[in-house]
Amino acid sequence: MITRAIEEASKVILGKDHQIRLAMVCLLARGNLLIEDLPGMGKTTLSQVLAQVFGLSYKRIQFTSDLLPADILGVSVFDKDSGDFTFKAGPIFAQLILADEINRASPKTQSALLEAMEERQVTVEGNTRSLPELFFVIATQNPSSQMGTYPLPESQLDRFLMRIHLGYPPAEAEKIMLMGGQGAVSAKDINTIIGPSDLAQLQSQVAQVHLSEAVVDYILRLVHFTRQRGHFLCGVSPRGSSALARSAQAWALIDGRDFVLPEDVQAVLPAVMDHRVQISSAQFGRSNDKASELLLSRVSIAG
Amino acid sequence: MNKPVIDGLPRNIIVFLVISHLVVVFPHFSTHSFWVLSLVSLCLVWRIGSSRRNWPLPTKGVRFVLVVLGFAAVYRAYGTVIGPLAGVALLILAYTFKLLEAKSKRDAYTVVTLSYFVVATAFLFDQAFSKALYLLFSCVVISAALISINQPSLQWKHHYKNAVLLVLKSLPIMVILFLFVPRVESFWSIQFDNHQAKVGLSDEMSPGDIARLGENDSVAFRAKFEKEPPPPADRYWRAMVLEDFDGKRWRRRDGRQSWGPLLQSDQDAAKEFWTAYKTWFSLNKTRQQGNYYRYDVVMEPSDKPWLFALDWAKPLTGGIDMKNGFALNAEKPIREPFVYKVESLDLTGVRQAPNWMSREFRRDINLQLPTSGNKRARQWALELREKAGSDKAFIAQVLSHFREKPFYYTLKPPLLGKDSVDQFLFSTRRGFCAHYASTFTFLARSAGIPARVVTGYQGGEQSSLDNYLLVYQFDAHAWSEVWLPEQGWVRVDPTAAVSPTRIEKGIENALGSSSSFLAQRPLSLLRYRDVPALSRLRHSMDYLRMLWIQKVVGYDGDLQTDLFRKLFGSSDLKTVVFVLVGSLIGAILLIFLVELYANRPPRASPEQRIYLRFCRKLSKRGYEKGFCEGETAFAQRVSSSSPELAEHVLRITALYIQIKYRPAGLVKNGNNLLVRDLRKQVRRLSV
Repeated sequence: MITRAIEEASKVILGKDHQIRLAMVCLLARGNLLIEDLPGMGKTTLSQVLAQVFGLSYKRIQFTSDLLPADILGVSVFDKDSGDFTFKAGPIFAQLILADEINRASPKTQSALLEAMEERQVTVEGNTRSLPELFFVIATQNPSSQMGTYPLPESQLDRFLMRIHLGYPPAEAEKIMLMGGQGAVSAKDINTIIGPSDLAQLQSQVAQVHLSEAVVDYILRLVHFTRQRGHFLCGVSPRGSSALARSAQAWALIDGRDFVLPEDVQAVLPAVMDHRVQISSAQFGRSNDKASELLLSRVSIAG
Repeated sequence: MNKPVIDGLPRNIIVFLVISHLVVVFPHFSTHSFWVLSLVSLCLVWRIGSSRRNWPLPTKGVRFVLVVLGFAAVYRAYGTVIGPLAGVALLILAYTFKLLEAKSKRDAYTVVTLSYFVVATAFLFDQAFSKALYLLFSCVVISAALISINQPSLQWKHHYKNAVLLVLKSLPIMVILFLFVPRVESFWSIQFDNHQAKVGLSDEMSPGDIARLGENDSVAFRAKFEKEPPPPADRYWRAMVLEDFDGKRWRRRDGRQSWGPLLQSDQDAAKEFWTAYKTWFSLNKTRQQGNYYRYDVVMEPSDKPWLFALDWAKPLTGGIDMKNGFALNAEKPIREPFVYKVESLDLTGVRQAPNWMSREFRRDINLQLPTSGNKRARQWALELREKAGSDKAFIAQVLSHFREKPFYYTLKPPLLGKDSVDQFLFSTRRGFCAHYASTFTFLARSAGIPARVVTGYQGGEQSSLDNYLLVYQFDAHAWSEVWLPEQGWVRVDPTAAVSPTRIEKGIENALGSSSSFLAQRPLSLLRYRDVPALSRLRHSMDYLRMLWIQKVVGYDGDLQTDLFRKLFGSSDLKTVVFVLVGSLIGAILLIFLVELYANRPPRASPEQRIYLRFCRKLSKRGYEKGFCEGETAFAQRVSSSSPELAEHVLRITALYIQIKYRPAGLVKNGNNLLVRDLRKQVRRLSV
């Protein structure tokens, strides 16, 4: 079922199987996704495709520097007819939300979204309203070196289960896209493969995937490695380690297994870890190096 | 103006340093003078105050004054600033001053190094086993301080735990250094004055002297017999012979201060006598005359040169002389525990006095009496001798006089005045062994029988652990010897006539349940001899001490040479260096291996071992599994480049993964079946 969903999604987003898989892992693991890339790489398309494939209600919020929290959460408006205030729900009351260019908005607005992500409820004018059971945020951000951005602080980055990069498409895929021939399909055209109720069931299955002691030890070794003095600016939080475990479980589920292999952990490791820790430049020359590369090449799998 | 000195050391390091200072200096408390110790305490209080209450540390001027005061205190106490005692006092002061002025990590290291050194100096004065244990404990405390400097963030419990481990690990190295480092005799022969007064026999005896020892429960010496020790009544340990009597005191013939040769005027005669004695001894030994005993004496320091042995003794250890009256003497006063080997022949039944002994015998010396005094006693003796008819009969009658008249054996005799013998014999009639020996010898001499007083110890407690006797200070005893022309010197113990129990069962029984024995020492374990468990405890403690003296303190250059000969066949320098270096390297290697073993990775499970075998097989084909590579990824790598292996490798990997990563099956022993299957598959794999 999931394989078919991936196939369906790859019809639109060509040559990005791995990223689609990771996005689905994120969805299954009830996490939120951060896509970081240059404009025009298909970030928006990916989120549309996901919403379509899973049949989720979809809203898109374009973050700008003048966006206010109320624009996201909604406001109470005075209704002349009833003489009462009625709540006009903001775009956040949807199942899948695309927060486009999140780092263009002010930190105040960013934190409104992030709090909603974390709590799965919003409080507007003293009334607490809960968000839909299925709630998934895909935030996109431009590389922070671009003009007019408020980079997300580490504490907020930590709230995203994964961060992925899309990258340039392979040449053949781009060719098909440009030719606009048979292969090219637009996001609107694809079918819903997994309904929202099936998705909820899959999400609950993730937690059932068996995590053997050997794998847990491997995760602990990875985490401990980041916490050792010298390698990184700061270590991974316990939230980070549970994110790694959950993502690995979801990856195994997508792979059709009911138990986790170290390879699952390794597959999700770059997406889960790279935005959480930063290599300390004092130890390893270039701080641009990915934390995951270091972890994958230095931490032993066998106990 | 002087700038205030800033204390840069963290408070917890100071705490550790002060604790180790107290522990290190504690054994020196009794040896050093009041002024030195008060200076040390002042500095300690200052140091604590500065770290707790931010008192300023001493400025340069104050420090100078302190150093001057230190020298003055040492000079006042010892009259000098050189020599062992003063030197150690100065070292302790320097150590304390350094602690006071320490304000950086570097200073703290210096303080720690100094404290290790001060610990070693404590051994110069006392080498008891308990001291050694205490010094080991000091090393732990100092090491904890050292660890606290290096790892200030850890808890104190960790410091002490690590310090204990560190000291334990260094023990083998300590043992090797002790056994194999060559002994430098010249350095250790420095004389250390022990200011503590030692108890023991003196070379004079007046009635009442030995009674004072009767209150003392410390061990005088132990004798470890190769076979059965002699029966209690024969345990007469000769220490010295007293032949000069001035009416009050008995003295050694050859001077109060003398432990010179037997006949100071005549070296040749001394040698001749010595040779004659040895020949006579071995002759009797080969003829199997009398009872032969061979034993080691482990002696406590007495500060006197005389040694103890059963009659007639022949020393087997070098450096021991035989002095006047067949008593053994060391060359120097015994200031440290001393071990010597002796053989003895008890010839009580042998009739004939050897010729050389008769020749040496000087009648005039052994008939000497003060010119006046004790008239009644002299008169009484002369009359008795005439009545008795023979020397032997006279002796028997004197002894029966002691036995039949109301004479008492007591530790608390009344004081005697001018004519002490008269007074004792006719009025007080209460005395200790010294009274009886002295009176009897006086009477014999008055009757014209050559006689003398012998002092030493009588008795000894048989230890429950081994064939050895414990002889205490309260076993000190005095008896008489008379010269009978046909027999030579014959031992006569008048105390035995008065109180046979003293000789047969020891002083504690002779004094009976009157509880006057060790009355002033209620805590002495010796008071509870009836409790077997306590006796065993006491004996074990003493046995430990004896072993310590024999094997550790007594381990000198000679014993070391013996050890090298026995173990390595030679004791030349090359062997010594080779053994020392070799064993040190061995010990360090051993410690390293133990460390390695303690930190070894947990034992691999059966399936892991099988999988390792599988990896080894594949490595023959050139496939090395990276330590960061998952099993599946590895299998795929192998099968994509060697498709002919693919099926087998993937099957093995699937099995292994199932065992390792899947939840344990519902089937009992399901994993065992899988492991068996895995083993079979790996065995079949051919590359």
